Amino acid sequence: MTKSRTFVFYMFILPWLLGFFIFTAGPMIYSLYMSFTDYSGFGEAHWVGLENYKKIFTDDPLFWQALWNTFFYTIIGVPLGLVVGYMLAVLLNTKVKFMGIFRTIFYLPSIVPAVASSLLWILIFQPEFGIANAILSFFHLPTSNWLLSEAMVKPTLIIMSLWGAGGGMVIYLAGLQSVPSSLYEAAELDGAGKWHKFWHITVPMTSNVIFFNLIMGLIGSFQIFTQAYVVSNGNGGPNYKSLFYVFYLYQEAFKFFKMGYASALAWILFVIILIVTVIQFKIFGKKVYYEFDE
Amino acid sequence: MVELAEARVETKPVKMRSMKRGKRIERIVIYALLIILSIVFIFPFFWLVGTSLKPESEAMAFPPSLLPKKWDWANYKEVFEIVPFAKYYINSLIVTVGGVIGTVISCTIVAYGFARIKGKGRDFWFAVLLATMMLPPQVTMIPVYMIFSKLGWINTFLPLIVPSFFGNAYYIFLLRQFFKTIPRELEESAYLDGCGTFGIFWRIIIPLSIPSVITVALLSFMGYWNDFLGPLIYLNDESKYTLALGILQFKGALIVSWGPMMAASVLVLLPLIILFFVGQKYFISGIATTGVKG
Amino acid sequence: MKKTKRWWSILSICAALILSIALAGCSNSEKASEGKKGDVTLRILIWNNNPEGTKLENEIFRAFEKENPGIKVKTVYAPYDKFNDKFLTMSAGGDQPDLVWIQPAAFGQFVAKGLLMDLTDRVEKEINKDEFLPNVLELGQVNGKQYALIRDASAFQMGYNKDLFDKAGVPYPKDDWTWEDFLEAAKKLTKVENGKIVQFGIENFYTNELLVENGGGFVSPDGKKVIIDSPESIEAIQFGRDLIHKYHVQPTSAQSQGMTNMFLAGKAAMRLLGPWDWADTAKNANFRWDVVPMPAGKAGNVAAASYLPIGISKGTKHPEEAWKLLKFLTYGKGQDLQLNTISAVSVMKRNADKIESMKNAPENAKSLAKTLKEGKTVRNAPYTPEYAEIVNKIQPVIDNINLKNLDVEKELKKIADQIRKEYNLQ
Repeated sequence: MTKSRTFVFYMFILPWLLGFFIFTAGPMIYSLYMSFTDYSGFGEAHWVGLENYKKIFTDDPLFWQALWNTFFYTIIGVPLGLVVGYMLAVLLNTKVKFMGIFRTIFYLPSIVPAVASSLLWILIFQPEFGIANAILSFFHLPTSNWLLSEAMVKPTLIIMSLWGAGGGMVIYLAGLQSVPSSLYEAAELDGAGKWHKFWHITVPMTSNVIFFNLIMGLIGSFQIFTQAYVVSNGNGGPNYKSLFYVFYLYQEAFKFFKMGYASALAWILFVIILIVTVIQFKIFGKKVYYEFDE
Repeated sequence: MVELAEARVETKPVKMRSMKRGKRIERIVIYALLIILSIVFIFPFFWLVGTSLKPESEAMAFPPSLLPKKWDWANYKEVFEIVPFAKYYINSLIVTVGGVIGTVISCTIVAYGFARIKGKGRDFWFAVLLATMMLPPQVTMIPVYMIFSKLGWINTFLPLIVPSFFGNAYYIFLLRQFFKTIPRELEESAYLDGCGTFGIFWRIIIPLSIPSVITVALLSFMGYWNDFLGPLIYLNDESKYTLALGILQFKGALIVSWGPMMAASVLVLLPLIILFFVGQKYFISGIATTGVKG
Repeated sequence: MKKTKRWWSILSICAALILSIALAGCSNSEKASEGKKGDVTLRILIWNNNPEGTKLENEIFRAFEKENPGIKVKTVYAPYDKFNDKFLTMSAGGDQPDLVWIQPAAFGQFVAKGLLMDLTDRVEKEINKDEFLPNVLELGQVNGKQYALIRDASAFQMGYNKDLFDKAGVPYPKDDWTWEDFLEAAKKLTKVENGKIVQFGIENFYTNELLVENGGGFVSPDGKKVIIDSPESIEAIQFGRDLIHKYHVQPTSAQSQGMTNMFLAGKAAMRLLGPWDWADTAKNANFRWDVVPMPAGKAGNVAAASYLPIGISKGTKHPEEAWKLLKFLTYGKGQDLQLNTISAVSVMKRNADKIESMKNAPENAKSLAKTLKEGKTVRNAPYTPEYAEIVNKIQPVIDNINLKNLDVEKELKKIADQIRKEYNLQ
């Protein structure tokens, strides 16, 4: 019995398994090898041992800058994105009219191509003629240089990312709607209030979806690239304050062709994300992740 | 955010009074919130459309004008004159439909394997699957490019479509999370009725998961439709370009033509908006009627 | 047993699907890439300056095809800022284009990576070097070997809005004007209304030009010495910074962000213009305009050399045909055609006097001819493998100085020492 179950299991996951070896495992091993070389994308690769890693950790201020930028963006942006997305979903899950229109409005921003939306935000946050400062000064609030300010560039990018919170909202909605209404009915019979129902039924019943969005948010946040690339004209400015990790990696790999060095950077990022995810599974995972496992 | 917090506070005392009146106030609060949030969310988009209808001089005027003084369709005309937009539409459609078909077929099968079939090594492979989600695509980009190049697939749609048949970790994870919420009793009774594993998957799981499958289909549709990096790397001929690449044609060496750029973005977005607006009924609310509530 | 069977059928359906798509894709690609049987299709990788220019580029290729039956030319585009990445990924994947435009700052890199074909022998055999204007061939040489030929060699000039000059009562600039003259004009052309600057003297004085005109630079021409902290460089950067923060004649980055062309919009009286901007300016300017040589700093009325090298990829399968096309573009008939299509300055002696009659040429186009003829252009991109990276490290520092009005000497000394240490330079 178990043996045949195992066979069936592998038949089911076969497509992915094949893809994994061809498109992921093979290339990854290759790039791990490259990270120990001075490979430039062309010609021969020379083995340099841990040289790349040593340089990254001891003699590369941009690595630490990029790491900090990414950390900041993640630690502020991801929780905010989760909360906004969830709130939108909860609001939309109530039965009101024109729901389709509202849903579309909230979801729309997340499907605007990143290149186009970034250019759009440049216009909006333009310090002189942009609408953002125009509104602030109308209410006599202090204005900002937004994307041109060292202090504000990351918060501005976070605001931009919140606009796309509707992407997570869709996932939440699907999760919210699959919460059995019998649970609510039962709770109502017990005289539970809205607040109580929200915290004791809605949130726990959708915890797997929240967890999913948390992981996806973190991954997406660690890999932020296009938006920063477009708004900083490809240089990570002002003063490297928008040089995020993958941006830096991309620059080393495809601008300066330092494939070996970039591979080492990629592997460091991979290890960091792996550690973060394992920690998450340890903290949240037990409850949400095994909920439905027997 | 502030508005949301207020809403919750207000629902509390309301509950004490007559149900009818409470319901009505609750309605009003929800609508008010939805409308305010809609304005916030739609505003940048409104700006996008507005800019696409403004002549260059007005797009950059300060103070900014909210609405174009006169609707100017010249930017749209320019888009069609400059680039073969119809051709790009067809190309985008081929890549997207191919990718979506591949993604849906492979991901549902694989996800079911991970969700329900207890084979040896399942937890291990699932951990591997999660790990691949976190892998920055930049790590494997060059080696993968070389594989497709060896196959002679450069400058065809194949490198964009074929990998979709090998599953996508993100959607597999998503579908697995959904599958796990389906009560096991349904399968058990089907199993007792003599249904095989595939029969259960096909006759029980899939019909119950239509909304989540549609969700994945829509999400992957957006992904393929907006994908920029893939087409940029693999497609060399202009006659094979997709829409996302098309937008960038308006970004010259030193200048950005805001108007045509925004017009092109609107045209790229239009199908997505329509699709979402039509599809969202099935995609989110359909779930209630499938019997998941158990 | 039964289960297993069903599985195979599903797998085979999947396989069939993949295969059929694959076949469809393959047959498509073959149909598209091959015109007639036996035809050779050359691919040239280019970026597009503007859609209009791109259209006109194709006219030149069509002329080549007409002259060379059996050879087809196909352009491959990449956005300007992703251009080098594109060439790299194509090269790494063994799918190099046959010919490639080159950004001078990346030239050294490309050669060091062995991506370009050595053209030295062919040039020796088939090209009469005396037909080129002086110093043109050298622009395509690295370590004494020819890796590219130059399609056009030109320079930026200062474009100005005659109407705005008239309105402000400022006399038009002369060909031998200086930074002081420029500053004085710029101040008079800057207009303030209600505490907001509504018209600037100049849109953007590029760093590179400032450095060149004052005898400074990033790195010495041989690539061995860092000179961004030389007194000339410091003075130049300081002048640029002061234009923004002391005299307010050039917009801050906050004032100009997202503004694509303040000059054309009549919001800036002057703007750096190259001949490649003529067509666009002529088409879109609703005012009278002209050009003058760059104002003189310590080094005189000079400008940075702006030129387009074109190379042949090492991996081309059609070296003979590619060479034919390269010759056509940089030496043959293409050199004559480009004058009246894309307003690209020819590098041939026979066309030396044609600048003024190029399409859309402004009145004072002869001053450009003079600048080029007298060799008043400065080549400032050394072809060393690390140059692109060095520029990429210094430019943000200068941007930061201009953004926050920082102490120029301190900042430049700091970055210069860092570069010296990192790249082992003088």
